[in-house]
Amino acid sequence: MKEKLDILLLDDEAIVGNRLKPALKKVGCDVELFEDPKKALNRIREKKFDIVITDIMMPSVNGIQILEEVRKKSDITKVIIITGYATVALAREAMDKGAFDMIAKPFTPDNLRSVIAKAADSLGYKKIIAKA
Amino acid sequence: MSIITITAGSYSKGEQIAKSVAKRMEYDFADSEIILSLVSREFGVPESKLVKAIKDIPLTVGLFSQAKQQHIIYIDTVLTEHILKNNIVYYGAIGFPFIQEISHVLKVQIIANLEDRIKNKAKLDGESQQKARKTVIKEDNQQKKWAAAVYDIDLTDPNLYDLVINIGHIQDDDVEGALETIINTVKHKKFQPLTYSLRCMKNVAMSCRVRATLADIDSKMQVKSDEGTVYIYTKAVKKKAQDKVLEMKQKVMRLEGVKHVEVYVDNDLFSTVAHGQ
Repeated sequence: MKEKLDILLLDDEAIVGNRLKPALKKVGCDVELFEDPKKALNRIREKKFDIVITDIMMPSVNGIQILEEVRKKSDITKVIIITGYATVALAREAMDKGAFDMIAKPFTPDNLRSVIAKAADSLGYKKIIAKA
Repeated sequence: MSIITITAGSYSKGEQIAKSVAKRMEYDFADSEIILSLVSREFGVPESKLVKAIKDIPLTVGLFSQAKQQHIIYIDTVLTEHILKNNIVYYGAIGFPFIQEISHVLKVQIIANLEDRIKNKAKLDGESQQKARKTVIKEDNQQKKWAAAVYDIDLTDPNLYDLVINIGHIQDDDVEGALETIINTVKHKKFQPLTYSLRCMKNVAMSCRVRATLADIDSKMQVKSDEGTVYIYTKAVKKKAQDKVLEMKQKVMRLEGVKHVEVYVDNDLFSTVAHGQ
């Protein structure tokens, strides 16, 4: 039985990742943090993560492209979109392409943790997420 | 777990389709009759006055009486809170702009041939086709003008909807055909609630609740909410602005879920001139 969730966290704003990574580690997740979407893409091609959390608006590669790449690699990886530019069209496109959920920025670490808990639940890892 | 809204002209079988979708999906059903009765119970306004608020058209665009504006705010509030619970089919056009920006709301318009609707009315109400024609056309115009005056939208614009179904163009059993189309569409992942869309819906309901709470002070104010932070945009005569802000903040802070209130005041030039202040 798996003990920790493998999470890839991608946001080109360092402050976002630096704030979220410790919050996720605290609840028992292994987090790989990326600010460069190209490096994140390479890592996604190498490793199958349980959850990928990605921003949308980034230079060179956007979050939808990340989502599409994850879908090519794995059917079960849950992709959570975090964005400051949420719209109906984006939400529907993300869901259509297989995202698990979308959260509008700004949000609190607790908001993200509850979405991670839902994702863990749907992966069958109910007890992995510990209460912070 | 989604929301389906269905709008249709009278005698287009819209209500029948909406009720059937709700039954088949095991969703709740709501229409203006249900919403108005809830509004009447909560705000103590007679249903007859609420009916007038959703039927009457102002002679000059935007110039509703203060009471009618309040009644529409109450209706919008109850409606948005009612559909917040999801798994609901709502039949009607009231409150339409509030659900426009919610991704898990499937917005459906049912259209039907005018001649078929006239025949439908004449048959159902046992009247001449001439009389039925007059009524159907009058009701169409009334609904269109009301939505334009109250929400500044054209209900006949297909861009407002995710799905437009022209019954009579599907198959012999047009209601069943429309039913299948709606149910198959809403099952698509695009219409499933997201953390983002649920938050949008809660924010919309909160903004409406704030407007209802302050409707006796200002029925024309603009309100935006985000996760318990409320932004109010109002107008006031300079001398009275401070008192108005304080009163609004005190009232809104008492609402459940409100954490912070910001009030932005523009000088009310019209009142300043009218009252010589």
